Amino acid sequence: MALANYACWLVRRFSAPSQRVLLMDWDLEAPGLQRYFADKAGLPENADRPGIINYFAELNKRLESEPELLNKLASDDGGQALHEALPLDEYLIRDVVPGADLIKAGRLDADYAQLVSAFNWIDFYSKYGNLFNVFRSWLELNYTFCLIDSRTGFNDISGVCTMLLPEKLVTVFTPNRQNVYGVLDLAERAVNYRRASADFRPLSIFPLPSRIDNAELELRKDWREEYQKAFETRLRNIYQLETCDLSDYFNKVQLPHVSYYAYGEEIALLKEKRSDDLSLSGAYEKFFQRLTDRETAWDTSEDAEAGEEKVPMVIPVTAPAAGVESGIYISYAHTDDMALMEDQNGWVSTFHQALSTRLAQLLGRDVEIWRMALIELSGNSALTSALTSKIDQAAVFIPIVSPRYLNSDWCANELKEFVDAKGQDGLTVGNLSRIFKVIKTPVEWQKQPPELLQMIGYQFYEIDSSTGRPREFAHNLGPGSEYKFWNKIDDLAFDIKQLIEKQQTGSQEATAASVPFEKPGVYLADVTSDLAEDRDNIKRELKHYGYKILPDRELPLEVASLEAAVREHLARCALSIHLVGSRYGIIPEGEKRSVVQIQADLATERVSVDPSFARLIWMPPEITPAGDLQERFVESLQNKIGAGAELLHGSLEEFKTRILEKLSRVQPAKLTTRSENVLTRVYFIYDSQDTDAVAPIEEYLFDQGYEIISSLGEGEGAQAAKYHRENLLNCDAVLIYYGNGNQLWLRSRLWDLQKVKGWGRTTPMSATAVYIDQPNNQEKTRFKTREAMVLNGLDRDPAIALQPFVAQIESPTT
Amino acid sequence: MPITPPVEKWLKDAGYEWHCFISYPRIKTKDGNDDLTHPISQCARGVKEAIIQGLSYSIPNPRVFLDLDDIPPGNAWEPTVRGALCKSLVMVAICAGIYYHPDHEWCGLEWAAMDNLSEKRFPGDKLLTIVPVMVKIEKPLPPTVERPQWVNISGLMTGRRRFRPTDRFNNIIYTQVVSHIEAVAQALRQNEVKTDCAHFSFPNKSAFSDWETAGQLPPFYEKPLEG
Repeated sequence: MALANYACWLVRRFSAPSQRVLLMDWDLEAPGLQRYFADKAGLPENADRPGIINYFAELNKRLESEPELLNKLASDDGGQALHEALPLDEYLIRDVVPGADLIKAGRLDADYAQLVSAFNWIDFYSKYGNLFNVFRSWLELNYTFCLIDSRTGFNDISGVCTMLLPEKLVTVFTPNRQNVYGVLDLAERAVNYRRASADFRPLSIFPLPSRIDNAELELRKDWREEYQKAFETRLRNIYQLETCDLSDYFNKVQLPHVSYYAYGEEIALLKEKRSDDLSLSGAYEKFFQRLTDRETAWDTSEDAEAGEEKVPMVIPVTAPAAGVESGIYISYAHTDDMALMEDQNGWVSTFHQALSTRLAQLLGRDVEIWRMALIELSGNSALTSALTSKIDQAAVFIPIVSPRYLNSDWCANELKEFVDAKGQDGLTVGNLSRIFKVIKTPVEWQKQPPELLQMIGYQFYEIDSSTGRPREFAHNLGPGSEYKFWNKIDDLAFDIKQLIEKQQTGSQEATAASVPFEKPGVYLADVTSDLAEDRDNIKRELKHYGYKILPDRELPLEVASLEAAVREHLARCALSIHLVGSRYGIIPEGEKRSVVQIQADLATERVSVDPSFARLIWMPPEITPAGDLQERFVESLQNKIGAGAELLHGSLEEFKTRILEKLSRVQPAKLTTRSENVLTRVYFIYDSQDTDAVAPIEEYLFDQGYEIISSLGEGEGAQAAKYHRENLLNCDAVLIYYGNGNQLWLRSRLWDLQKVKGWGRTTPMSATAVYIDQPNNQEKTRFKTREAMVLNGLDRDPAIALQPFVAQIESPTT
Repeated sequence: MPITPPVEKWLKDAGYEWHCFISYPRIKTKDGNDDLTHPISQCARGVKEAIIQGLSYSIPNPRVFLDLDDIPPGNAWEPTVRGALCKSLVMVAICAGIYYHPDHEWCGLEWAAMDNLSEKRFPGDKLLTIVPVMVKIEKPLPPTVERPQWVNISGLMTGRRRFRPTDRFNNIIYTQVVSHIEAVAQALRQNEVKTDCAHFSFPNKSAFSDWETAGQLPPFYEKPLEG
């Protein structure tokens, strides 16, 4: 009965002409499937139509009389050969319901019983076993769904029906032990057979409890517990599952006992015009939906009707770690955690779990990770106090950046809460940021929140070279994508581990600019997207060996800032690494060279001021430059590589080995710019009108570890002049702020820089610079000088504008 | 015991370029291309990635050879595979009936070659350098495949149409394959057994040349009809 109902449901749901259903009555000992479709099957032309047993008897006869037929059927085109040798048409009752055909058990005449008992299936299989595969393949070509009605029990026919033919096996049972354990044994044998067969198709078991009597509540509950547990245990064993929970499945799947259908051959799905949860047709529909849409009975749906979960929840995944300034907060948009397939976890959930596991492995203990599991986000809702306390408590904040994240007020509030809670000083531990930006989906750089702009981030996607489209890394998008996903998780976990350990030791180191590295810094140049994975590969290895990798923040896209930033980073490194592929890469605004080339040029420039600085350039073995620009760039690298550089074309592994060899010869001491006990004094000259405006600059430089000596305002006579002269004689660097002072004032200050030699200064200053700031005017726009570097702070954050100045101070030879 | 940095360095110096070599039957589509969607191909890749993941907890950049990924375009297949096999600590064989079949003779040659290496590297020792991962257990198995460290994932492979690297799968690979690779690494280091690829070649005979499959078992239950 279930089979007939399923056929009706399938043709209703899949109504396209190409999606046909075939019903086959293999219950040869008790045939009767045709009775459910008496309108068609009872017609005179169908009454004597042959069926399954006749087909196989005829096939057996033909194979015995035509031995060469077996070879034809064994060929790659065996299905077509079978169709030509013995067409099925004669056996089919077409459209028993529109879209579904039926093959009866056989021609139910006086010879039927004799034919069934005489046919030796075991003998047939031993001679022509592969023909079942040919027969099955032919059916698969012609039907979308093939439904087999098989008698349960241990006999030859049920072996064919349960072991050889199906991909899904529905085991119908009533709640009694003989039935439950009988179908379990049968299912186990069928699956074990498939595990040991050459057939790579799955065989998935779908239990179907039937004739459940709602009147007996206690019995129903007890039996439900028993059969659910029995199936869970058995399925877990035969499919080698970690867990198997069928609660949800059996909540939905059970056929009630409806006395009406115990009589005659009514199809509930056709009889009942409207179905509800208590009707037989309603119960069938729920089961059929699962059977059709899910691969296994234990699969769960992310779209379950769990309305009660529509409240904000904080999920602690692991036990809190003792004695740590608590855990990690993941901030994300709910859309980014929606599963693409119903039986899979969302991206953020998987990310969360993976990070948690990897961190526990790296640290040797669990770390608490929180995120807000919201079914529906309400952007303007205030953060709940529980949530706020978790954010405040977190040592690490991970924003999952995506287009939806940027549009979410909720996410913006979470970030703000974290930044406010930590304060500017508390956002870093030593030189490590507490915010770890994860970019799930590419977004426009400038649209990111200011707090995230300067961070490089962990890019969980790559650009497809053939389509130019981003492809996200995920655990369920194929092995390649999954591999990259895990690598990124590993990178992230490793860096978080470093921060957590640094926080635990309490070593509040000064910022990177003022701290000499234990090992040489390495400038690993930004690359085009096709080489991003190779760059990550190198970065991972160098980090593992304890090298500091720069740039450690996003490079600006505006050329002056970009150059300043690269120079600053290069000044802190002993070696630069450049990977050059077939693409030229992004060209910053107002520039003709790509970011890749600019970095290579600046590294060459670096060699001119520090001859010990080394450059390693790698190109894939067979490179085909895409476009003239790249061709010229590659040619220039090959022909004019310059001093201190090596160009390698071998494998990436060989290149990595060369990098490590090179680094092993670099003396870390060379990078130390000054003794730890000696302060670098920056004399900061500005007009008294700018006292307020210079505060952020002073603060930034002080944060970099410098002693700031501020100039005195105008009009303070001889004492001020003496103070000014002494500072110029004794300072290490000079910064002149060009704000409200006019050009005359500025030139006078620059002239002082020349005069200081006459006043008795014998050592050169490590850096001198003019910092141009608001109010803007034509003079400032056109201002140039060769006496000091010019820093453009007009529309820029001081931290960025000051980078060349800081780099110059840090450079030991300039 | 995880591979420590000194052991890892020693292995590299001793010529072991690969921690593991994956041997599996390459399935072709009707067009003659590799059928990358076949469960065997997917499983081979899944095993590779699980081993890399498992080893990466102790060493940077574990190296696992899979011919689909690791033969650069233009390189000859046979010498590359020969070199990789000889420079591997362990071979993982993705086993099903077709692995032993004469149509996939290369599987049998790889097996025989690795067995020869195993005897040279660990003479008289029971530590073997081949780990069969059973995707299907089509009995009877060739006698040489029935060894103590076989890994059975046939149940995992039967529930779904496409291979899925579940937690259970990863755990099986970590605990049974990765730990074996680590044990072999330690033993090689301890015995100071270096690679000797100049004298290494594939044998003439497949490890399964004397074995004949009994064919698919009949799909019939042993018990008589009940009820």
